[in-house]
Amino acid sequence: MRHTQTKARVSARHLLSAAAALIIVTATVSGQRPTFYNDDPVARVVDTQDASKVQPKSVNLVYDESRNLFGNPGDPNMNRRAMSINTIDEVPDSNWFTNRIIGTRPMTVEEVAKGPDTATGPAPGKWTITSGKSDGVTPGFTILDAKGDRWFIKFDPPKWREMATGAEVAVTKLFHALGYYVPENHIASLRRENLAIGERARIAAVDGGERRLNDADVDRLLRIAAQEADGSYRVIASKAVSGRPVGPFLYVDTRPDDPNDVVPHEHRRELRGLRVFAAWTNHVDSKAINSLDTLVTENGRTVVRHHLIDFGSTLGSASIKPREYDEGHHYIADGGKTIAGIVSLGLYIPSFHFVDYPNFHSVGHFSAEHFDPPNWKPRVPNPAFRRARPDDTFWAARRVMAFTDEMIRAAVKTGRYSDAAAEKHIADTLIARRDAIGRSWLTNVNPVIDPALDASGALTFRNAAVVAGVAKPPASYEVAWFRFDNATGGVTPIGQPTSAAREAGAAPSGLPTADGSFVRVEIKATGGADPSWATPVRATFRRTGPGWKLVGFERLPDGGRR
Amino acid sequence: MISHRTISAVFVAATLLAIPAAGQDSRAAELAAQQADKATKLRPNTESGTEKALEWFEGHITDPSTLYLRFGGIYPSAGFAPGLGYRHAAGHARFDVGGAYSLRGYKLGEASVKFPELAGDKLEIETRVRWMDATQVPFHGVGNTSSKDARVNYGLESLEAGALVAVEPVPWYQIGAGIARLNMKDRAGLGTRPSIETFPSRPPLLFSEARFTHSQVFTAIDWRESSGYSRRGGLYSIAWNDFKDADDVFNFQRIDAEIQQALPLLKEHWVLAFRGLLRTTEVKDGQIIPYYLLPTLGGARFHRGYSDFRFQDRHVMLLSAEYRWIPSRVLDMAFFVDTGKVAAERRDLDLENLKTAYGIGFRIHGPTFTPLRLDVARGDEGIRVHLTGGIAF
Repeated sequence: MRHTQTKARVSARHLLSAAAALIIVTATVSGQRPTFYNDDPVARVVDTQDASKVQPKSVNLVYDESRNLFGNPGDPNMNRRAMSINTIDEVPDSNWFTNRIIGTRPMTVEEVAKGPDTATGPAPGKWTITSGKSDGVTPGFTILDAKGDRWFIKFDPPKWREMATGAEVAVTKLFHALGYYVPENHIASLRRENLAIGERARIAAVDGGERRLNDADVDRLLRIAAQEADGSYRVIASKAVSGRPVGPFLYVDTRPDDPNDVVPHEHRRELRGLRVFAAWTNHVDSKAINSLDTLVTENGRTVVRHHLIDFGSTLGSASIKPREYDEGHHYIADGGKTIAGIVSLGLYIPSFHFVDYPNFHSVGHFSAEHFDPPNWKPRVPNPAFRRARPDDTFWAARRVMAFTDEMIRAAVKTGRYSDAAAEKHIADTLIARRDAIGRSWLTNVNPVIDPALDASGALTFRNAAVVAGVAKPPASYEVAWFRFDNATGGVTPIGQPTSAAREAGAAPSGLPTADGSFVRVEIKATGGADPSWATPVRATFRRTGPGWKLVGFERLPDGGRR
Repeated sequence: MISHRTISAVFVAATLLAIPAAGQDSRAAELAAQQADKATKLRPNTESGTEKALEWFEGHITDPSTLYLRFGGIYPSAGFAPGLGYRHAAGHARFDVGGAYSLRGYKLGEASVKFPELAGDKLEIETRVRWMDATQVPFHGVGNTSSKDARVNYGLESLEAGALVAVEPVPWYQIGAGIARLNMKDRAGLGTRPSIETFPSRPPLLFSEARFTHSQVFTAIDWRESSGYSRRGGLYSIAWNDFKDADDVFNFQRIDAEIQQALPLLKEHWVLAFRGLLRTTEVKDGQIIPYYLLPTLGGARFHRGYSDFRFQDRHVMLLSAEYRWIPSRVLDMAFFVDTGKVAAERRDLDLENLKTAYGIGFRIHGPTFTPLRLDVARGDEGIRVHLTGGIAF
């Protein structure tokens, strides 16, 4: 409140003057601040402050979607470098993200398929309903299984058996491998006779309050669920995530009551990169209310953990029916395309109307045909997606490309589709969309990765686009060498830039040898698949004992403007 | 002009840059300092005023027990009609009581008790009392050749009390029946137009009271996606109505039949929609159908080329077709044609002397509802603009 009053009292001119003064002071003092600390690059961001005072807060869907659809909330600078990254351009582990598919060691196919699972689903035996959910898009129950674990139970719509449940489980596995905190989701089988109603089970009453859940309510909820031939119900069982829920996170700004939340969400690379993952899995419903923050205890301290939840509206599913044909291609209100549609009197026909979807009821509308990753869109603009730069989408595309065909097929298999052809279609489509992502987002920025400098001064690196097979090697690489002053940030050229036909180069003479000295290399490609390859990446190494350690990496120095 | 967002962004950047300058010697310490700094600036994560207003508005629409604002619903020709209602849900029952008053002086008071979800959502029962007073209902005379310029106004007061039962054994089929006591009384009209008693051919038994027992039986096959918005499916309905007058003067029957069909093309890029509507009455010799209960043609739902009540007679036929295209998920456009006629004899409901209008429509809609529809039609009496809610058909 005091903040608001202050804003009201002080004019915009005064505020900007104060901000400018702060930057000047910062710049002056930062002369004493090294560019790289000894612990760079950090592999994990630790939440150091107690967040136990964080209070639950819901997000109004209409408000959130309206301001994203008709406004552009967040930092007006649409080309700011991601702020949740470490000095080598990677996202450290945190309570937002854990590096998995590209991590300290390769994931196995089995690990991808296992995902976050700690069990095989609700324990068999009586399931005791603790509450019912009769409203919303997908009705369901909350149950306690025979072991006392809490699970949320949801169903497939009757006409689209396996569609939503299969998508939810398979995509959960993919998002876990990608690095997000996700719930443990299982396909399970429910029989009416195995359901018991808990003494305190409640359901929303028509008067807006709550009343005791009864058998008729259970029967009514089951009537709108797809039933198997043997009378059982295929369900998605979603285990409650650990911690006390405090509501969704927004894709913009920070949570004002969380002391550890210091990076505006629209500048978190793991949220910007989510655009790529959402495009891959057709997660058009990537909005605030499909996330959940919980208070967890970590090292004896209460902190906020950030989850993605509810993947029932992914792949070809829109939860209660197949997704609309325009989903993934249009925002629900999409300025120019809407006007083109109006003035053309319907004669302007978007290409997605010609996509030929196979007739799988368990799949819905999911295809790689006409999938154009950069032009993929969620239902409503997402502030973090909007600010994704080529270095963000490159980071994400590398993770998508790290999935092997076998990993994708294993993840899809966990959706337990009864029709092998449907399962194959989903996996084949994900594979084709993965490759399309590689072709789009591994190639539109200089794709040099993994620079390494050995003690002898031999530089090696790789080209992610070439490694992924989505681009031909460039004609040559050019490497420029510099001494780097960690105190001032100044650079001094070492020799002349060298040119090489492959991903390697030798340092010129004059490389510093003192422990703690720094050297910078700038690597660009000529004759590459995209003009952007001529913009050099910038890698910085620190001399540590006998070798060199990569401590800095920028894929788009100066925002790519060179 | 410097926006507050710009200032905020500058501050965030400045703060993140400034804190490290305080002398940290590691990245971990720098990050910890940023978090420690924020810990001194925490504020409650509260809803904005806009969010609170939206929460209130949503509750106003969805809360089953609340006082609420209402608009319209008095009678065609009422004009803008704000009102107030109170609804309450208890068990299976939904109570609703409310009233409205229009700028043209129309008044409404009504109360209902509904049981919409009996027998596992397959049975619905409704009882209702409704009083309405209309001050200036248009009348142009009876017949297909009536003149627009001949318009006069009449007043109409009605009181209805009745019950209705509908059974829906499967989601796409409904059958039901209702009975009501209906008292109606016409009187001189208000407004800028002359009153009906000045009309050259005065309707019979003008300004008399009718006391009906209105019985009805209806059935419908409805496989549209929803009654509020649909791109596919059809509606085939028929209803039989019997109006029995306590004074044995105004006895008659009326049959309402309607067929609707929507045909999606090219994955719902286009939709062709068609409607046929028939309202026909039956009256025995010596009995009279009150002019204010004759089937009518005209209005946003019943022929967009004309105003409400523009034509009326004992039989009405209306044919509509729409070419709809879908520029975005929430906006449909349409070219439409409405053609129809009224007739004194059923055999005259042919394709001659049809009243035809063409037009274009803009519809803002959700998955199952159409809150705003703008239809602009051109007929032989000029251009008519209909700004309303709900589907045309």
